[in-house]
Amino acid sequence: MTYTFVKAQGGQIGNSLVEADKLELAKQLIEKAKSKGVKLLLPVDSTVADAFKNDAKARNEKSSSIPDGWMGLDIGTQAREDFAKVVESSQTVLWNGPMGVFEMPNFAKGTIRVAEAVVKATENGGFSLIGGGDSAAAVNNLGFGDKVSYVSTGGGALLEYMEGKELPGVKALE
Amino acid sequence: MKTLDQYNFAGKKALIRVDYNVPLDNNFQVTDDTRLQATIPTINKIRKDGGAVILMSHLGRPKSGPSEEFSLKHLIKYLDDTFKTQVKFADDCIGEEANKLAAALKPGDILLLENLRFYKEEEKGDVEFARKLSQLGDVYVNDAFGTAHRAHASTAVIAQFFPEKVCGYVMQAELDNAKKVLERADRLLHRYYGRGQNFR
Repeated sequence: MTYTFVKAQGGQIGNSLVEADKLELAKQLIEKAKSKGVKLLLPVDSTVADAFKNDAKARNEKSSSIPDGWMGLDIGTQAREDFAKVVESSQTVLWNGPMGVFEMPNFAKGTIRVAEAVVKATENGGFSLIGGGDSAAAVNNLGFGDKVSYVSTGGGALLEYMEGKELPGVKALE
Repeated sequence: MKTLDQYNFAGKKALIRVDYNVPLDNNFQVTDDTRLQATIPTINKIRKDGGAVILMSHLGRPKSGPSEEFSLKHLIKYLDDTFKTQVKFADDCIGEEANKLAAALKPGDILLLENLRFYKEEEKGDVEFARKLSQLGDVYVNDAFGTAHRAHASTAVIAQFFPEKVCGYVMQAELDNAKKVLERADRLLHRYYGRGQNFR
C-alpha cells in the first residue's frame, strides 16, 4: 500500500506494487490527514529487491527513490525504528496488514519489528487488536498470539465495523 | 441481542453459521486451525445444555457448483478428533438428505453441512435458499464474524425465519474487542479536547 502513497506524492517507486487507480484517493487521504492534524506515517526507507523471491539481491533505499528494476518488499532499517517507536508508546493499537512480504524470511524484518513493538505496547498496559488473515498469521507464526490483547478472525468485517458501518450479520441477530 | 449464555439449548437443534474457511494443504490437511479452535466453546456450550449442533460454513471461492477442492468433508476427521464423537456429514447443505440427517440428531450430536457456496444463492442472499436452510434447526446462532459484513443467505437473510437468534461466543468476543478499540480511541480524543479547553 505504501508505494501508492509514495507515488501519489511524486516519488520514484521503481517496480514496486502500486494501485494505479487509487493514486487520487491516496492524495486525498494525505490531504485529509494533514487538515485534521493526523500523523500519517509512511516508511522513509524500504528494503528493495531485484526480484520477487527470498534470495533476490536486496538493499536499503529511500522509499521515494527506488530505481527501475527494483521493488520494495519490506520497510527499511530507519522505518522499522520509526514505526516501532510510535507503536511501543501507544495505548491503543489496531494492526491490519504486515509490513512486507513476511512469508519470505529476508523480507520479514519489518513485520517482526512491528510485532515486537505491539507486544511491548501490550506489556505496558496498552490494548492491541490484530485483524486480517495476514497479520493474524504473522503474529501467530511468531508465537506472539498470546502476547497481544486480541487476534481477530475477521479482516474486512473488522475494518467495516471500525468505519462505523452496521454489519448485516450482526443486525440480523437483533 | 441474545448471548449464548442467556439461552438454554436443551432439546434444541442449533443451526450455527461458523467461519470454517480455513487453509488446506495439497492433502487437504488443515494448516491453520485458528478459526476451528475459536468455535469450540460455542459448540461445547450447546452440547452441554443438551442440544444438537448443525454447522454450516463456506470454504474458499468455488466457481461453479460442488468440487472436491472446496468440500467441507475434509474437516470431518479434524472435528471427530476435536469433539471425540462421530460427526455426521450432509454432502448437500439443503434437500432431503440434509433434512433427514438433521431430524435424526440426538442431544450432543454434531452435523456438518457441505459448503454453502456450492450454491450461488448463498452469496446472492437468496430468500428461498435461506428458508430451506432454516428448516434444519430450531434456533439460529451466528458465530462467523469474518463474514458478518456480508448480507448472504446464511449470515443475515436466514435470521428472519427464526423467532430465536443467538450471538455466538466468537461473534461476541470480536464485537467486544472491536468496541474496546473504538472506545479507547474516543477517550483519547476527549482527553485532547479537554486539555485544549483548559488552555483557553
